[in-house]
Amino acid sequence: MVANPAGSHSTGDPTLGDIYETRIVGTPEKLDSALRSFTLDVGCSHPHFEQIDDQTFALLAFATSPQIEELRSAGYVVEVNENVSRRAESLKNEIGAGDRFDGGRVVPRGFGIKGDRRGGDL
Amino acid sequence: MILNVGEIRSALRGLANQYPGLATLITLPERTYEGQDSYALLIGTGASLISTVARCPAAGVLITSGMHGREWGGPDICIYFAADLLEAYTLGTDLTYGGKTFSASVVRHIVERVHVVVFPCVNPDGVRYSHANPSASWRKNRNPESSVSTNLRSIGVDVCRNFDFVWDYRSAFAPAAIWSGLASDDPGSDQFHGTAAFSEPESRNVRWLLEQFPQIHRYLDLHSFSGFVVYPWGDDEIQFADVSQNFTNSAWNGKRGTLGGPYGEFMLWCDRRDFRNLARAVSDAIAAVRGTVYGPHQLFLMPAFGRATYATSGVSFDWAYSRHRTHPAKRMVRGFGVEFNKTLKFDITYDELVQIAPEVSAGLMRLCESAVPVVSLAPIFCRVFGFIREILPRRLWSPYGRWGRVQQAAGAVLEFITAPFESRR
Repeated sequence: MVANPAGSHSTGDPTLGDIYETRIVGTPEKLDSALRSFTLDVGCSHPHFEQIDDQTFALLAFATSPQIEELRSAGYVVEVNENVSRRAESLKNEIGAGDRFDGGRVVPRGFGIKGDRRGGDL
Repeated sequence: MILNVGEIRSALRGLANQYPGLATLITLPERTYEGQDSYALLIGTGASLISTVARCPAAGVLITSGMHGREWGGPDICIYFAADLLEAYTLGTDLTYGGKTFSASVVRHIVERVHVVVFPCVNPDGVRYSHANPSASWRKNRNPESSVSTNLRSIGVDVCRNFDFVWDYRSAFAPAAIWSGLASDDPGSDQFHGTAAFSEPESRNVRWLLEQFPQIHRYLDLHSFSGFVVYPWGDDEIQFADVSQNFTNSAWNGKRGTLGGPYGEFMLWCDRRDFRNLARAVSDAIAAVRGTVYGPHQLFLMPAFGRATYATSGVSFDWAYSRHRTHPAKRMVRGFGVEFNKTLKFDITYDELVQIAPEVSAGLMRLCESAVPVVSLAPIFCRVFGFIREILPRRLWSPYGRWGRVQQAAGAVLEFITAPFESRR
Protein backbone atom coordinates (compact mmCIF):
# COMPACT_ATOMS: atom_id res chain seq x y z
CA MET A 1 0.00 0.00 0.00
CA VAL A 2 1.40 3.34 -0.96
CA ALA A 3 -1.40 5.77 -0.41
CA ASN A 4 -4.13 6.19 2.12
CA PRO A 5 -7.39 6.30 0.17
CA ALA A 6 -9.05 8.05 3.05
CA GLY A 7 -6.74 11.06 2.53
CA SER A 8 -8.02 14.53 1.83
CA HIS A 9 -9.37 15.55 -1.56
CA SER A 10 -7.26 17.30 -4.14
CA THR A 11 -8.22 20.70 -5.37
CA GLY A 12 -10.49 21.00 -8.40
CA ASP A 13 -14.10 19.95 -7.98
CA PRO A 14 -14.08 18.57 -4.42
CA THR A 15 -17.39 16.77 -4.58
CA LEU A 16 -16.14 14.29 -7.19
CA GLY A 17 -13.70 12.62 -4.79
CA ASP A 18 -10.09 11.64 -5.37
CA ILE A 19 -9.23 8.81 -7.72
CA TYR A 20 -6.47 6.31 -7.04
CA GLU A 21 -4.55 4.08 -9.34
CA THR A 22 -5.13 0.60 -7.97
CA ARG A 23 -4.16 -2.95 -8.80
CA ILE A 24 -6.75 -5.59 -8.14
CA VAL A 25 -4.89 -8.85 -7.67
CA GLY A 26 -6.32 -12.30 -8.24
CA THR A 27 -6.92 -15.19 -10.56
CA PRO A 28 -8.24 -14.53 -14.09
CA GLU A 29 -11.66 -15.74 -13.00
CA LYS A 30 -11.72 -13.46 -9.98
CA LEU A 31 -10.66 -10.41 -11.98
CA ASP A 32 -13.13 -11.19 -14.75
CA SER A 33 -15.82 -11.39 -12.11
CA ALA A 34 -14.78 -7.96 -10.77
CA LEU A 35 -15.05 -6.43 -14.23
CA ARG A 36 -18.52 -7.84 -14.74
CA SER A 37 -19.84 -7.15 -11.23
CA PHE A 38 -18.51 -3.67 -10.46
CA THR A 39 -18.48 -0.38 -12.31
CA LEU A 40 -14.75 -0.02 -12.73
CA ASP A 41 -12.73 2.58 -14.60
CA VAL A 42 -10.05 0.52 -16.33
CA GLY A 43 -8.93 3.00 -18.97
CA CYS A 44 -10.22 3.93 -22.38
CA SER A 45 -11.52 0.79 -24.06
CA HIS A 46 -10.23 -2.38 -22.47
CA PRO A 47 -8.69 -3.73 -19.25
CA HIS A 48 -4.95 -3.52 -18.65
CA PHE A 49 -3.27 -6.20 -16.65
CA GLU A 50 0.08 -7.66 -15.73
CA GLN A 51 0.85 -11.25 -14.99
CA ILE A 52 2.38 -11.89 -11.56
CA ASP A 53 2.69 -15.68 -11.77
CA ASP A 54 0.99 -18.58 -13.55
CA GLN A 55 -2.35 -18.04 -11.90
CA THR A 56 -2.19 -14.50 -10.60
CA PHE A 57 -2.77 -11.27 -12.46
CA ALA A 58 -3.06 -7.63 -11.48
CA LEU A 59 -5.78 -5.53 -13.08
CA LEU A 60 -5.24 -1.78 -13.37
CA ALA A 61 -8.25 0.19 -12.17
CA PHE A 62 -8.89 3.80 -11.22
CA ALA A 63 -11.10 3.93 -8.18
CA THR A 64 -12.36 6.24 -5.45
CA SER A 65 -12.08 5.39 -1.78
CA PRO A 66 -15.67 4.10 -1.52
CA GLN A 67 -15.11 1.91 -4.57
CA ILE A 68 -11.91 0.52 -3.07
CA GLU A 69 -13.70 -0.28 0.16
CA GLU A 70 -16.54 -1.89 -1.75
CA LEU A 71 -14.11 -4.12 -3.61
CA ARG A 72 -12.30 -5.09 -0.44
CA SER A 73 -15.58 -5.86 1.29
CA ALA A 74 -16.37 -8.22 -1.54
CA GLY A 75 -13.12 -10.09 -0.90
CA TYR A 76 -10.88 -8.56 -3.55
CA VAL A 77 -7.24 -7.79 -2.89
CA VAL A 78 -6.73 -4.15 -3.86
CA GLU A 79 -3.32 -2.49 -3.85
CA VAL A 80 -3.62 1.28 -3.79
CA ASN A 81 -0.91 3.17 -5.60
CA GLU A 82 -0.78 6.77 -6.72
CA ASN A 83 -3.43 9.39 -6.08
CA VAL A 84 -4.00 10.22 -9.75
CA SER A 85 -6.26 13.15 -8.93
CA ARG A 86 -3.46 14.80 -7.04
CA ARG A 87 -0.95 14.00 -9.77
CA ALA A 88 -3.22 15.37 -12.50
CA GLU A 89 -3.87 18.50 -10.46
CA SER A 90 -0.13 19.06 -10.16
CA LEU A 91 0.08 18.95 -13.95
CA LYS A 92 -2.44 21.76 -14.41
CA ASN A 93 0.38 24.09 -15.38
CA GLU A 94 1.07 21.79 -18.36
CA ILE A 95 -2.10 23.17 -19.97
CA GLY A 96 -1.56 26.26 -22.04
CA ALA A 97 -2.86 29.57 -20.74
CA GLY A 98 -4.16 32.25 -23.05
CA ASP A 99 -3.88 31.81 -26.80
CA ARG A 100 -0.40 31.25 -28.18
CA PHE A 101 -1.79 31.24 -31.72
CA ASP A 102 -3.36 34.65 -31.28
CA GLY A 103 -6.72 33.77 -32.78
CA GLY A 104 -5.11 32.30 -35.89
CA ARG A 105 -2.47 34.93 -36.61
CA VAL A 106 0.32 32.61 -35.43
CA VAL A 107 0.77 29.30 -37.25
CA PRO A 108 1.51 26.06 -35.38
CA ARG A 109 4.44 23.94 -36.52
CA GLY A 110 4.68 20.20 -36.02
CA PHE A 111 7.50 18.05 -34.70
CA GLY A 112 8.52 16.56 -38.04
CA ILE A 113 11.69 17.50 -39.86
CA LYS A 114 10.93 19.03 -43.24
CA GLY A 115 13.91 18.50 -45.49
CA ASP A 116 16.74 19.97 -43.46
CA ARG A 117 14.41 22.17 -41.41
CA ARG A 118 13.64 20.99 -37.91
CA GLY A 119 10.05 21.32 -36.69
CA GLY A 120 8.76 22.28 -33.27
CA ASP A 121 5.91 24.31 -31.91
CA LEU A 122 6.01 27.75 -30.42
CA MET B 1 2.48 23.14 -23.08
CA ILE B 2 -0.62 21.12 -23.92
CA LEU B 3 -3.03 23.07 -26.11
CA ASN B 4 -6.14 24.40 -24.42
CA VAL B 5 -9.46 24.33 -26.26
CA GLY B 6 -9.18 27.93 -27.44
CA GLU B 7 -5.69 27.28 -28.78
CA ILE B 8 -6.90 24.23 -30.67
CA ARG B 9 -9.39 26.45 -32.47
CA SER B 10 -6.83 29.18 -33.08
CA ALA B 11 -4.32 26.66 -34.39
CA LEU B 12 -6.84 25.40 -36.93
CA ARG B 13 -7.60 28.97 -37.97
CA GLY B 14 -3.90 29.68 -38.23
CA LEU B 15 -3.36 26.73 -40.56
CA ALA B 16 -6.32 27.74 -42.73
CA ASN B 17 -4.98 31.30 -42.89
CA GLN B 18 -1.42 30.25 -43.65
CA TYR B 19 -2.30 27.72 -46.35
CA PRO B 20 -5.26 29.12 -48.33
CA GLY B 21 -6.22 26.75 -51.11
CA LEU B 22 -4.71 23.82 -49.22
CA ALA B 23 -6.53 24.00 -45.90
CA THR B 24 -10.09 25.04 -45.20
CA LEU B 25 -11.66 25.57 -41.81
CA ILE B 26 -14.95 23.71 -41.40
CA THR B 27 -17.44 24.79 -38.76
CA LEU B 28 -19.38 21.74 -37.62
CA PRO B 29 -23.16 22.11 -37.56
CA GLU B 30 -23.81 21.09 -33.95
CA ARG B 31 -22.92 23.19 -30.95
CA THR B 32 -22.07 21.42 -27.72
CA TYR B 33 -24.24 21.54 -24.60
CA GLU B 34 -22.09 24.38 -23.27
CA GLY B 35 -22.52 26.27 -26.54
CA GLN B 36 -19.09 25.72 -28.02
CA ASP B 37 -18.60 25.54 -31.76
CA SER B 38 -16.54 22.68 -33.13
CA TYR B 39 -14.08 22.94 -36.00
CA ALA B 40 -12.32 20.64 -38.41
CA LEU B 41 -9.72 21.25 -41.09
CA LEU B 42 -9.99 19.96 -44.63
CA ILE B 43 -6.57 19.46 -46.23
CA GLY B 44 -6.14 18.95 -49.94
CA THR B 45 -5.59 20.88 -53.13
CA GLY B 46 -8.82 22.55 -54.14
CA ALA B 47 -10.01 22.10 -50.59
CA SER B 48 -11.55 25.54 -50.42
CA LEU B 49 -14.26 24.48 -52.86
CA ILE B 50 -15.99 22.34 -50.29
CA SER B 51 -19.19 21.83 -52.22
CA THR B 52 -17.23 20.67 -55.24
CA VAL B 53 -14.94 18.51 -53.18
CA ALA B 54 -17.87 16.81 -51.49
CA ARG B 55 -19.03 15.47 -54.84
CA CYS B 56 -15.56 14.53 -56.00
CA PRO B 57 -14.94 10.78 -56.12
CA ALA B 58 -11.51 11.17 -54.58
CA ALA B 59 -10.03 9.33 -51.63
CA GLY B 60 -10.51 10.70 -48.14
CA VAL B 61 -9.29 10.22 -44.59
CA LEU B 62 -10.99 11.41 -41.40
CA ILE B 63 -8.94 11.76 -38.22
CA THR B 64 -10.66 12.55 -34.94
CA SER B 65 -9.52 13.01 -31.36
CA GLY B 66 -10.60 14.57 -28.09
CA MET B 67 -13.65 12.36 -27.77
CA HIS B 68 -12.70 11.71 -24.13
CA GLY B 69 -11.86 14.83 -22.13
CA ARG B 70 -9.12 13.38 -19.97
CA GLU B 71 -7.03 11.90 -22.76
CA TRP B 72 -4.65 14.83 -23.02
CA GLY B 73 -2.50 15.27 -26.07
CA GLY B 74 -4.75 13.77 -28.74
CA PRO B 75 -5.94 17.12 -30.13
CA ASP B 76 -2.35 18.40 -30.05
CA ILE B 77 -1.14 15.44 -32.12
CA CYS B 78 -3.80 16.16 -34.74
CA ILE B 79 -2.81 19.83 -34.95
CA TYR B 80 0.92 19.12 -35.24
CA PHE B 81 0.33 16.38 -37.79
CA ALA B 82 -1.74 18.75 -39.96
CA ALA B 83 0.90 21.46 -39.60
CA ASP B 84 3.66 19.06 -40.67
CA LEU B 85 1.76 17.82 -43.69
CA LEU B 86 0.93 21.32 -44.92
CA GLU B 87 4.41 22.72 -44.32
CA ALA B 88 6.20 19.80 -45.98
CA TYR B 89 3.90 20.03 -49.01
CA THR B 90 4.41 23.77 -49.34
CA LEU B 91 8.19 23.43 -49.06
CA GLY B 92 8.25 20.39 -51.35
CA THR B 93 10.36 18.44 -48.88
CA ASP B 94 10.46 15.02 -47.24
CA LEU B 95 8.85 14.69 -43.83
CA THR B 96 10.84 12.83 -41.19
CA TYR B 97 9.87 11.58 -37.75
CA GLY B 98 12.85 9.94 -36.05
CA GLY B 99 13.67 6.86 -38.11
CA LYS B 100 10.70 7.19 -40.45
CA THR B 101 10.81 9.39 -43.54
CA PHE B 102 7.95 10.10 -45.92
CA SER B 103 9.28 11.27 -49.25
CA ALA B 104 8.26 14.57 -50.82
CA SER B 105 6.46 12.49 -53.43
CA VAL B 106 4.34 10.75 -50.77
CA VAL B 107 3.55 14.11 -49.13
CA ARG B 108 2.55 15.50 -52.52
CA HIS B 109 0.36 12.51 -53.34
CA ILE B 110 -1.45 12.75 -50.02
CA VAL B 111 -2.22 16.46 -50.38
CA GLU B 112 -3.09 16.30 -54.07
CA ARG B 113 -4.96 12.99 -54.25
CA VAL B 114 -6.50 12.52 -50.80
CA HIS B 115 -8.75 14.81 -48.83
CA VAL B 116 -7.64 14.68 -45.22
CA VAL B 117 -10.20 15.92 -42.69
CA VAL B 118 -8.80 16.54 -39.21
CA PHE B 119 -11.29 17.01 -36.37
CA PRO B 120 -8.98 17.37 -33.36
CA CYS B 121 -11.40 18.11 -30.53
CA VAL B 122 -14.71 16.25 -30.87
CA ASN B 123 -15.71 16.89 -27.25
CA PRO B 124 -14.54 20.42 -26.40
CA ASP B 125 -16.75 20.64 -23.30
CA GLY B 126 -15.19 17.51 -21.83
CA VAL B 127 -11.65 18.56 -22.76
CA ARG B 128 -12.16 22.03 -21.29
CA TYR B 129 -13.58 20.57 -18.09
CA SER B 130 -10.69 18.12 -17.80
CA HIS B 131 -8.15 20.92 -18.25
CA ALA B 132 -9.86 23.04 -15.60
CA ASN B 133 -10.43 20.11 -13.21
CA PRO B 134 -7.64 17.60 -13.87
CA SER B 135 -8.33 15.75 -10.62
CA ALA B 136 -11.77 14.71 -11.89
CA SER B 137 -10.29 12.49 -14.63
CA TRP B 138 -13.25 13.53 -16.77
CA ARG B 139 -14.09 11.30 -19.75
CA LYS B 140 -17.60 12.25 -20.92
CA ASN B 141 -19.15 15.35 -22.41
CA ARG B 142 -20.97 17.78 -20.10
CA ASN B 143 -24.59 17.16 -21.03
CA PRO B 144 -26.56 17.07 -17.75
CA GLU B 145 -29.82 15.80 -19.27
CA SER B 146 -29.73 12.43 -17.49
CA SER B 147 -27.89 13.51 -14.37
CA VAL B 148 -29.09 13.47 -10.79
CA SER B 149 -28.20 16.36 -8.52
CA THR B 150 -26.71 14.12 -5.83
CA ASN B 151 -24.05 12.68 -8.14
CA LEU B 152 -21.80 15.02 -10.10
CA ARG B 153 -20.37 12.01 -11.95
CA SER B 154 -23.79 11.47 -13.51
CA ILE B 155 -23.28 14.50 -15.75
CA GLY B 156 -22.33 13.72 -19.32
CA VAL B 157 -22.40 11.03 -21.96
CA ASP B 158 -19.50 8.91 -23.19
CA VAL B 159 -19.29 10.15 -26.79
CA CYS B 160 -17.45 7.00 -27.84
CA ARG B 161 -20.32 4.79 -26.68
CA ASN B 162 -22.94 6.94 -28.41
CA PHE B 163 -22.49 5.82 -32.03
CA ASP B 164 -25.08 3.63 -33.70
CA PHE B 165 -23.32 0.29 -33.61
CA VAL B 166 -25.02 -2.29 -31.31
CA TRP B 167 -25.84 0.75 -29.18
CA ASP B 168 -28.74 -1.08 -27.50
CA TYR B 169 -26.31 -3.37 -25.72
CA ARG B 170 -28.81 -4.83 -23.28
CA SER B 171 -30.66 -6.40 -26.23
CA ALA B 172 -27.71 -7.12 -28.48
CA PHE B 173 -25.28 -8.85 -26.13
CA ALA B 174 -25.35 -12.04 -24.11
CA PRO B 175 -25.73 -11.25 -20.40
CA ALA B 176 -22.35 -12.91 -19.80
CA ALA B 177 -20.68 -10.47 -22.20
CA ILE B 178 -21.69 -7.35 -20.31
CA TRP B 179 -18.96 -5.68 -18.30
CA SER B 180 -18.40 -2.18 -16.99
CA GLY B 181 -16.47 -0.92 -20.04
CA LEU B 182 -18.83 -2.22 -22.71
CA ALA B 183 -21.31 0.64 -22.24
CA SER B 184 -23.73 1.63 -19.52
CA ASP B 185 -27.27 2.91 -19.11
CA ASP B 186 -26.33 4.33 -15.71
CA PRO B 187 -25.63 8.07 -16.02
CA GLY B 188 -23.19 7.74 -13.13
CA SER B 189 -20.94 5.50 -15.21
CA ASP B 190 -18.04 6.83 -17.24
CA GLN B 191 -19.38 4.71 -20.11
CA PHE B 192 -22.95 6.10 -20.01
CA HIS B 193 -24.06 5.74 -23.62
CA GLY B 194 -26.75 8.43 -23.70
CA THR B 195 -30.50 8.28 -24.21
CA ALA B 196 -30.25 7.08 -27.81
CA ALA B 197 -27.63 6.45 -30.46
CA PHE B 198 -26.43 9.83 -31.72
CA SER B 199 -28.20 11.62 -28.90
CA GLU B 200 -25.12 13.85 -28.53
CA PRO B 201 -24.02 16.74 -30.73
CA GLU B 202 -20.42 15.52 -30.62
CA SER B 203 -21.16 12.15 -32.23
CA ARG B 204 -23.54 13.82 -34.68
CA ASN B 205 -20.73 16.11 -35.79
CA VAL B 206 -18.57 13.08 -36.65
CA ARG B 207 -21.49 11.56 -38.54
CA TRP B 208 -21.98 14.85 -40.40
CA LEU B 209 -18.39 14.81 -41.61
CA LEU B 210 -18.79 11.32 -43.07
CA GLU B 211 -22.07 12.39 -44.72
CA GLN B 212 -20.62 15.63 -46.04
CA PHE B 213 -17.45 14.09 -47.43
CA PRO B 214 -18.46 10.82 -49.05
CA GLN B 215 -14.97 10.39 -50.46
CA ILE B 216 -13.75 9.44 -46.95
CA HIS B 217 -12.81 5.78 -46.89
CA ARG B 218 -10.36 5.71 -43.99
CA TYR B 219 -11.10 6.81 -40.45
CA LEU B 220 -8.87 6.91 -37.40
CA ASP B 221 -9.97 7.91 -33.91
CA LEU B 222 -7.18 8.82 -31.47
CA HIS B 223 -7.51 7.84 -27.83
CA SER B 224 -5.22 7.08 -24.92
CA PHE B 225 -3.73 5.14 -23.30
CA SER B 226 -1.92 1.79 -23.81
CA GLY B 227 -0.21 1.74 -27.23
CA PHE B 228 -2.36 -0.23 -29.64
CA VAL B 229 -3.73 0.08 -33.16
CA VAL B 230 -7.21 -1.45 -33.16
CA TYR B 231 -9.78 -2.28 -35.81
CA PRO B 232 -13.36 -3.66 -35.95
CA TRP B 233 -15.20 -5.52 -34.75
CA GLY B 234 -15.55 -4.66 -31.10
CA ASP B 235 -18.67 -6.68 -30.39
CA ASP B 236 -17.48 -10.22 -31.13
CA GLU B 237 -15.02 -12.39 -33.00
CA ILE B 238 -14.80 -11.96 -36.77
CA GLN B 239 -16.16 -14.80 -38.88
CA PHE B 240 -16.40 -15.11 -42.67
CA ALA B 241 -18.88 -17.91 -43.19
CA ASP B 242 -22.32 -16.82 -42.03
CA VAL B 243 -23.65 -13.54 -43.38
CA SER B 244 -26.74 -13.79 -41.20
CA GLN B 245 -24.59 -13.31 -38.12
CA ASN B 246 -24.34 -9.58 -38.32
CA PHE B 247 -25.13 -6.65 -36.09
CA THR B 248 -28.35 -5.78 -37.94
CA ASN B 249 -29.92 -9.20 -37.38
CA SER B 250 -32.06 -9.13 -34.24
CA ALA B 251 -32.43 -12.92 -34.40
CA TRP B 252 -28.97 -13.03 -32.80
CA ASN B 253 -29.80 -10.63 -30.03
CA GLY B 254 -28.71 -11.87 -26.63
CA LYS B 255 -25.99 -14.03 -28.13
CA ARG B 256 -23.23 -11.56 -28.97
CA GLY B 257 -20.00 -10.80 -27.21
CA THR B 258 -18.64 -14.06 -25.81
CA LEU B 259 -15.51 -15.76 -27.08
CA GLY B 260 -16.34 -19.15 -28.56
CA GLY B 261 -20.06 -18.41 -28.28
CA PRO B 262 -22.66 -19.12 -30.95
CA TYR B 263 -22.20 -15.74 -32.62
CA GLY B 264 -19.41 -14.18 -34.64
CA GLU B 265 -19.62 -10.83 -36.42
CA PHE B 266 -19.51 -11.30 -40.18
CA MET B 267 -16.77 -9.62 -42.20
CA LEU B 268 -15.64 -10.20 -45.78
CA TRP B 269 -12.29 -11.96 -45.91
CA CYS B 270 -10.75 -9.15 -47.93
CA ASP B 271 -11.91 -6.54 -45.42
CA ARG B 272 -10.26 -8.41 -42.58
CA ARG B 273 -7.12 -8.76 -44.67
CA ASP B 274 -7.09 -5.03 -45.36
CA PHE B 275 -7.75 -4.18 -41.72
CA ARG B 276 -4.89 -6.37 -40.57
CA ASN B 277 -2.49 -5.09 -43.22
CA LEU B 278 -3.34 -1.45 -42.60
CA ALA B 279 -3.18 -1.77 -38.82
CA ARG B 280 0.21 -3.45 -39.21
CA ALA B 281 1.39 -0.72 -41.58
CA VAL B 282 0.38 2.01 -39.11
CA SER B 283 1.99 0.06 -36.28
CA ASP B 284 5.22 -0.37 -38.29
CA ALA B 285 5.38 3.34 -39.10
CA ILE B 286 4.99 4.18 -35.40
CA ALA B 287 7.68 1.68 -34.44
CA ALA B 288 10.07 3.04 -37.06
CA VAL B 289 10.21 6.43 -35.32
CA ARG B 290 11.93 5.32 -32.11
CA GLY B 291 11.09 1.66 -31.62
CA THR B 292 7.83 1.95 -29.68
CA VAL B 293 5.57 -0.97 -30.52
CA TYR B 294 1.85 -0.28 -30.85
CA GLY B 295 0.47 -3.77 -31.39
CA PRO B 296 -2.27 -4.22 -34.01
CA HIS B 297 -5.39 -5.98 -32.69
CA GLN B 298 -9.02 -6.53 -33.42
CA LEU B 299 -10.84 -4.49 -30.76
CA PHE B 300 -12.74 -7.49 -29.35
CA LEU B 301 -9.56 -9.53 -29.07
CA MET B 302 -7.41 -7.04 -27.19
CA PRO B 303 -5.00 -8.87 -24.89
CA ALA B 304 -6.50 -9.83 -21.54
CA PHE B 305 -5.95 -12.42 -18.89
CA GLY B 306 -6.63 -16.03 -19.75
CA ARG B 307 -9.27 -16.43 -22.45
CA ALA B 308 -11.25 -13.41 -21.32
CA THR B 309 -12.48 -10.98 -23.97
CA TYR B 310 -14.24 -7.69 -23.51
CA ALA B 311 -16.81 -6.47 -26.00
CA THR B 312 -17.67 -2.84 -26.68
CA SER B 313 -20.72 -1.10 -28.11
CA GLY B 314 -21.35 2.28 -29.71
CA VAL B 315 -17.70 2.84 -30.64
CA SER B 316 -16.91 5.39 -33.35
CA PHE B 317 -14.78 3.34 -35.74
CA ASP B 318 -16.96 0.22 -35.49
CA TRP B 319 -19.89 2.43 -36.51
CA ALA B 320 -17.93 4.06 -39.34
CA TYR B 321 -17.15 0.66 -40.83
CA SER B 322 -20.69 -0.65 -40.23
CA ARG B 323 -22.32 2.14 -42.28
CA HIS B 324 -21.85 0.46 -45.64
CA ARG B 325 -23.80 -2.56 -44.40
CA THR B 326 -26.71 -0.58 -42.99
CA HIS B 327 -26.63 1.86 -45.93
CA PRO B 328 -25.27 -0.04 -48.96
CA ALA B 329 -25.11 3.14 -51.06
CA LYS B 330 -22.51 4.62 -48.73
CA ARG B 331 -18.83 4.09 -49.27
CA MET B 332 -17.07 1.58 -47.10
CA VAL B 333 -14.98 3.31 -44.44
CA ARG B 334 -12.18 1.36 -42.86
CA GLY B 335 -12.18 2.55 -39.27
CA PHE B 336 -9.32 2.32 -36.80
CA GLY B 337 -8.54 3.39 -33.28
CA VAL B 338 -5.12 4.26 -31.94
CA GLU B 339 -4.55 4.17 -28.19
CA PHE B 340 -1.47 6.36 -27.88
CA ASN B 341 0.88 6.60 -24.88
CA LYS B 342 2.26 3.47 -23.27
CA THR B 343 2.74 5.00 -19.82
CA LEU B 344 -0.77 4.00 -18.70
CA LYS B 345 -1.98 7.44 -17.68
CA PHE B 346 -4.31 9.96 -19.25
CA ASP B 347 -2.57 13.16 -18.23
CA ILE B 348 0.68 13.66 -20.06
CA THR B 349 3.22 16.40 -19.83
CA TYR B 350 4.43 18.43 -22.77
CA ASP B 351 7.79 16.64 -22.59
CA GLU B 352 5.98 13.33 -23.00
CA LEU B 353 3.93 14.75 -25.85
CA VAL B 354 7.13 15.70 -27.66
CA GLN B 355 8.08 12.00 -27.62
CA ILE B 356 4.64 10.62 -28.49
CA ALA B 357 3.43 13.07 -31.15
CA PRO B 358 6.06 12.20 -33.79
CA GLU B 359 5.31 8.49 -33.43
CA VAL B 360 1.58 8.92 -33.82
CA SER B 361 2.04 11.46 -36.60
CA ALA B 362 4.06 8.87 -38.51
CA GLY B 363 1.17 6.43 -38.08
CA LEU B 364 -1.29 9.02 -39.35
CA MET B 365 0.93 9.76 -42.34
CA ARG B 366 1.09 6.06 -43.11
CA LEU B 367 -2.68 5.77 -43.00
CA CYS B 368 -3.01 8.74 -45.36
CA GLU B 369 -0.39 7.22 -47.64
CA SER B 370 -2.44 4.03 -47.78
CA ALA B 371 -5.43 6.08 -48.91
CA VAL B 372 -3.67 7.36 -52.03
CA PRO B 373 -5.40 5.56 -54.89
CA VAL B 374 -3.22 2.76 -56.26
CA VAL B 375 -3.87 -0.01 -58.72
CA SER B 376 -4.93 -3.09 -56.81
CA LEU B 377 -6.83 -6.14 -57.94
CA ALA B 378 -8.20 -7.14 -54.56
CA PRO B 379 -10.95 -4.49 -54.23
CA ILE B 380 -12.23 -5.39 -57.69
CA PHE B 381 -12.47 -9.07 -56.83
CA CYS B 382 -13.98 -8.17 -53.49
CA ARG B 383 -16.76 -6.24 -55.19
CA VAL B 384 -17.38 -9.11 -57.59
CA PHE B 385 -17.63 -11.59 -54.73
CA GLY B 386 -19.91 -9.25 -52.80
CA PHE B 387 -22.13 -8.73 -55.83
CA ILE B 388 -22.44 -12.46 -56.47
CA ARG B 389 -23.36 -13.00 -52.84
CA GLU B 390 -26.11 -10.41 -53.05
CA ILE B 391 -27.73 -11.94 -56.11
CA LEU B 392 -27.53 -15.56 -54.95
CA PRO B 393 -30.65 -17.06 -53.40
CA ARG B 394 -30.62 -16.40 -49.69
CA ARG B 395 -30.67 -20.14 -48.89
CA LEU B 396 -27.18 -20.47 -50.37
CA TRP B 397 -25.54 -17.92 -48.15
CA SER B 398 -27.67 -17.55 -45.12
CA PRO B 399 -27.74 -19.02 -42.63
CA TYR B 400 -24.80 -21.39 -42.85
CA GLY B 401 -24.81 -21.15 -46.65
CA ARG B 402 -22.17 -22.51 -48.96
CA TRP B 403 -21.16 -19.25 -50.56
CA GLY B 404 -19.28 -18.06 -47.50
CA ARG B 405 -16.99 -21.09 -47.69
CA VAL B 406 -16.47 -20.66 -51.44
CA GLN B 407 -15.66 -17.02 -50.93
CA GLN B 408 -13.25 -17.73 -48.11
CA ALA B 409 -11.35 -20.38 -50.07
CA ALA B 410 -11.26 -18.23 -53.21
CA GLY B 411 -10.08 -15.31 -51.13
CA ALA B 412 -7.14 -17.21 -49.72
CA VAL B 413 -6.06 -18.32 -53.19
CA LEU B 414 -6.53 -14.82 -54.60
CA GLU B 415 -4.55 -13.25 -51.79
CA PHE B 416 -1.66 -15.61 -52.50
CA ILE B 417 -1.72 -14.84 -56.23
CA THR B 418 -2.15 -11.08 -56.10
CA ALA B 419 0.04 -10.16 -53.12
CA PRO B 420 3.29 -9.80 -55.11
CA PHE B 421 1.66 -7.39 -57.56
CA GLU B 422 0.12 -5.00 -55.10
CA SER B 423 1.89 -1.85 -54.14
CA ARG B 424 2.48 -0.47 -50.67
CA ARG B 425 -0.92 -1.31 -49.18
